Amino acid sequence: MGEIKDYGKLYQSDILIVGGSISGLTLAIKTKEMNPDLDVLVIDKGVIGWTGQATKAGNGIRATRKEPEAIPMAMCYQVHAHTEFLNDQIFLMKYLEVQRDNVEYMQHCGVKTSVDEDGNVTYFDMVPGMDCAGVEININRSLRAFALKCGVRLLSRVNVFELLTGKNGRVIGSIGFDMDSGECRIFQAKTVVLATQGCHFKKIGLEFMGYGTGVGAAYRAGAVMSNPEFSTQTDVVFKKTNTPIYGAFNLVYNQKGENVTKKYCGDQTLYEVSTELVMGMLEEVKQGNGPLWCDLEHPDEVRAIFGGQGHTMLMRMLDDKMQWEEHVFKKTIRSFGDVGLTPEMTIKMVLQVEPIHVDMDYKTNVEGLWAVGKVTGQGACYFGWTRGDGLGNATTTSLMAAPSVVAFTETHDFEELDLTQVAKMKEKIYAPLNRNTTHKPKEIFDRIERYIFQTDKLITKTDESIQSVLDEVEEMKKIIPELTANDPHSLAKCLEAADNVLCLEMVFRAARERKESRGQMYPHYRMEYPQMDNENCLYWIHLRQGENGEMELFKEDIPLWKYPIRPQGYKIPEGQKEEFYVPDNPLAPVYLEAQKRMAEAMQKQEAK
Amino acid sequence: MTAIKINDRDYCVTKGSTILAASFETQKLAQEPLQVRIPTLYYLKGVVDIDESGVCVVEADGEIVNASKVRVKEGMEIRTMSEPVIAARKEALAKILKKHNKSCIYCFRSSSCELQTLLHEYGFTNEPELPMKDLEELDLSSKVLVRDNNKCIRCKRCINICAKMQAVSAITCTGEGMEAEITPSSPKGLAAASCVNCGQCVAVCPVGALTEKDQTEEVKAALEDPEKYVVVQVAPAVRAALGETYEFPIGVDVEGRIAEALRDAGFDKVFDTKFGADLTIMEEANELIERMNEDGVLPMITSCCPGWIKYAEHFYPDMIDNISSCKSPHQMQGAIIKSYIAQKEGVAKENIVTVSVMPCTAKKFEITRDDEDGAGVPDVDIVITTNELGKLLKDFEIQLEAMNPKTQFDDPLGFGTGAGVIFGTTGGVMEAALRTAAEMISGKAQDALEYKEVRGMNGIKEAAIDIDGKAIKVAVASGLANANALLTKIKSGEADYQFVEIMACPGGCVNGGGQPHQPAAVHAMMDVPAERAAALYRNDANATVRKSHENASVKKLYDEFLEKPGSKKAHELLHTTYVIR
Amino acid sequence: MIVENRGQQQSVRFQVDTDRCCGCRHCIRRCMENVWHWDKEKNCAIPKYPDECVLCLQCEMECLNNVIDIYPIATLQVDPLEFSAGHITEADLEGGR
Repeated sequence: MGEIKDYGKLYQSDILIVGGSISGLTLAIKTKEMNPDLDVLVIDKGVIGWTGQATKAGNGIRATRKEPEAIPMAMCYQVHAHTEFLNDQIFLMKYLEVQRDNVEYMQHCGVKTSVDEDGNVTYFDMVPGMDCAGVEININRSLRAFALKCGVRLLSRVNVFELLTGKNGRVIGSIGFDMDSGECRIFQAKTVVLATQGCHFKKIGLEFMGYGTGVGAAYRAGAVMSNPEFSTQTDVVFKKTNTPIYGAFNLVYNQKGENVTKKYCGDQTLYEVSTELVMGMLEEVKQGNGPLWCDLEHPDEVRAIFGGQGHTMLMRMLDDKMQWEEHVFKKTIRSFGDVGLTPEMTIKMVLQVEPIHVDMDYKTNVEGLWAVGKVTGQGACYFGWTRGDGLGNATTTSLMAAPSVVAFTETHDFEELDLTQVAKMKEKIYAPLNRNTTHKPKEIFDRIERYIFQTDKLITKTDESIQSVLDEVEEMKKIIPELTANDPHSLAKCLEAADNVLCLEMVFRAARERKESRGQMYPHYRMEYPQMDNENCLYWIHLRQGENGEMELFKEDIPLWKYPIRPQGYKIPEGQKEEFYVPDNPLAPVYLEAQKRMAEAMQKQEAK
Repeated sequence: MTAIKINDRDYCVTKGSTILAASFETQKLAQEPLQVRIPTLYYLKGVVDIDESGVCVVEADGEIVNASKVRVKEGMEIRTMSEPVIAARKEALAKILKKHNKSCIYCFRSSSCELQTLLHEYGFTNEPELPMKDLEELDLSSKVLVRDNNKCIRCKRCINICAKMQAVSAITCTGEGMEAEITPSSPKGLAAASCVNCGQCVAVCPVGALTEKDQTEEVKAALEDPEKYVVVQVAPAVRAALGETYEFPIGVDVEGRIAEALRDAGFDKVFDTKFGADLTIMEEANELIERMNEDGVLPMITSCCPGWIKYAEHFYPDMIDNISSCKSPHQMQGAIIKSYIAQKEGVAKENIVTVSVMPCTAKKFEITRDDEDGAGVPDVDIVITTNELGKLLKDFEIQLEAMNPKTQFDDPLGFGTGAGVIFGTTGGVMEAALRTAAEMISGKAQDALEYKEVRGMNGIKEAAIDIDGKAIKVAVASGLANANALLTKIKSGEADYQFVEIMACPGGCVNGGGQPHQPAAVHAMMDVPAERAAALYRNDANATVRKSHENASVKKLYDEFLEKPGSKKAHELLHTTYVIR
Repeated sequence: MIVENRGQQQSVRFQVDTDRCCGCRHCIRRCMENVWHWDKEKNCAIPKYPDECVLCLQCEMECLNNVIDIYPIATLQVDPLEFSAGHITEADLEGGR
């Protein structure tokens, strides 16, 4: 059988972090600062410091306000505005606490943020309890510089696809290949952390760039996945450019001049693309009242906050982002002409699957395996990623993970790699290079992209549409073993395609299971079950790979008896007792007060 | 303080400063610095202060002015990116481009060229290479650097630094503006001029007109030759700066990373010139004490800087006897490689290729001197600069970022002390020597370890060090104009030192001719050599052994091979001679 | 060099003045989608996998010699609302390619 080096180049480190964008780099820096003697290695399929979605997305970052009442306020907002009552509220409370300091930590790492004359971070008011600051677009370049100063190792251009496990299922390494040479790369570590982004089904566009391979690898190593049914996100976009018209939710008109939002959603002000709005827009188009258009001539306050003036005025943007936006704007106008003030609009739906289940230390259920950043968006039972705060989430989760990652690494040793396993994984990874079939990954990606054009598959799911996707998943699963590749790039695409199909299956299996509708930001909607069902559906859906390799599903009741924020009329189930609103819990009155104030504020809003 | 407006924002700046200086001052404030940035091309702090390129312009109260010339006035309104200003800069760049043979893909400075950065920023997309018939031949006369006049943009940084900071004037200028001719002071080329090879001209050149001679292909050939046993050694100052070629922050010590990178590159042995530095201290401290005890020529002047040596040979031939006879650290180490290591490894010395990685261009010349072949073959075969090593590692696709900082060099000849590592900065050789001399003189271990009096970036430093009740007077100079001033003082009898350290490059080797380039804007806001020096002092502070004479590998070398400092064998291998030019 | 990708939803043209590539490799390190690669024979960077481009345009912005010009030809060829409303069908999509 030989040695490891017969299979590939071996890299050893105490901690292996897969993924070198903001989350991975923040964790690398934090762990190295906590224990400088640890050997920390970060790997990425791109060039660390210049790649990563953080360098290509909106550069705002959120922090919880420092006042004590900010957390209960933010909790009330999150638990209602996101996906009602699906949160692990104790987890969320801790997260919000840690998120007080994430921006200052970025400053500590040499990242440029929006600052006042004295160098203190400046914020503006964004959502209840949370403020938004600006950070430079080249945030990863600054994090890279700081990481190098701390002695972190950064290995670029390596893509890993499988985790290596030890005798009792502990994760002890990883395997993949170099994206330029195609040569095999094997990693051995005491602790492995996935900071790999979620799965965003290729070719959605600029905002979401997840490839799904981290999810797939974790799944096959036995990690539990959670709540993937809440994966849909919808934007309203310019028809000309397919880029978002931020904040234009209430400005949707049909060719008859009617305001579509008002027509289908009533008088409420929307802060998100709601399912009703989408159904309304679709109805209008069906009836021939399209194309729909957006009235930017008369913007409302929502448009002001999320787009246009809001950005420049409030110093959220730093010069580098402005320069970039200007450049993109110029090129877009050159290609498509100016969108004007009454642009035609449509929707763009995306699927973001971020299901790796973690506890409050961001540890998965598999020994030695952690996951941070967006790949845990849904799996951090469930509080989902606050829309627009990928950077805040990435940094906060890493800060939360660091202590336990360090503690585990300090008290555990390497486990010897199993050569049989390594051989098997290597064969699996390289298989597409050695096939004489003709299927290409593009087929799978284009096929999935077509679901993303369909509202009945992504948003307004029906029993039929769910089943049709699951049927197609079965078909695609037959094509996966026939995908061919002829270089490292296409090989990576074949492996990504397989994990994309896996993630698609997770979404629709979970969607089939949840027989209700719930959620504002990443809504899960069933035409046959259009109401939220707080009597029967207050559970989390988990998935994992079963003994026989098949996907299995199981539920966990949400322990709302431990949490402060509950649906109206909530009854503590049999066998459980009140654990939050008890006399010796100092938080009890705080939350009662916060909810009261929130309800009053909402009544005032509605009265207007 | 004067109140001004830059791009509609209010600032208070030092009274009487130029607009450019005011811009640098405001950039140090916490808020967004890009707002007040003014581009420069010729400007380099302390070398060329008035930038006549035409790029360093702004609108001040409606008029387009040279920001490096015009001073701020109360209430002045400055615009740094208005349309007329941008147009003026583009025109200036176009004019310069007409005389610049732009062949970036072949140019050593591509990616660190200040002209290239400006052309990128100002959106230039069409700049053809100059026609062949208009091209001048390259000046390849020097062993150390290449002069490509077709790339010269007439900034005059080289002229200024060679004349003013280095007191050599090997390169001169006739004419004005873009019509000026920059030529060596001898018609036969730089080598014939009194060029001392310090490479400061290379260090300050904003483009690829003056570059070190690129010998990376020679190194690759040696590595590929199965007959050759290729040994590499790395100078102290390299570890404080190599990271910059990979865009590490300035001042990060990459010692361990270099060791792993060089092993990946395929060298048979990876050594550290810190060892050679310790060895130099043993020999030099011994020589100093001999001279002090036997009424020898004093002050003794250090000899590890080949730029200084050639300067002395040209301009101070009557002080040659003051110079220590010790070779420089890498030459000593090379001689030991070709004798001691050859024996140990059972390799014929003719088959060994020693490659030294140095922050220094002058060492390319040093290895060709007489008496730098202690074992009967050249001590060192190839010298490459920090920049060349960066290029070599990138050609091999080695990621310095991925290397382990804790990697060790091969030993013996890979372990060096903290005293050895501080050789890379001005005052470092002096301090290292004092740590050993103090114990040799007093005969017992000394508490003092750090001699802070000789640290810092001042051009001339003097101190009286008390060793066991005796005052040893020392002086340190870096930058040849400063050396000149110091030597004049010594010759006149005004000063009476026992030991003097002279480095040709201002700040010492950390500012050597082969060190990575940083744009003028960085130099304006940060003392780059000082940051690099700080990395070396940190390395020293964290070292397990900080005195050269406590280096166990050095002790073993003497026990097994050299007998003792100043022995016959030591003289054969480790000492050299000088010539009058 | 002109390279085009005609995708299902997005079509992009790359215009690259490869003669003036200076080898800085900024395009390669910036690209998250692995579009750009170094061609050892041609001694320049080329957009080897234009299919993957998401039009961030950062390669273009960072190109030291301003050698890259990316031209979005179309970014929305299938309107999701029209598709969901049945105004465009699968057959239309197949035909278009």
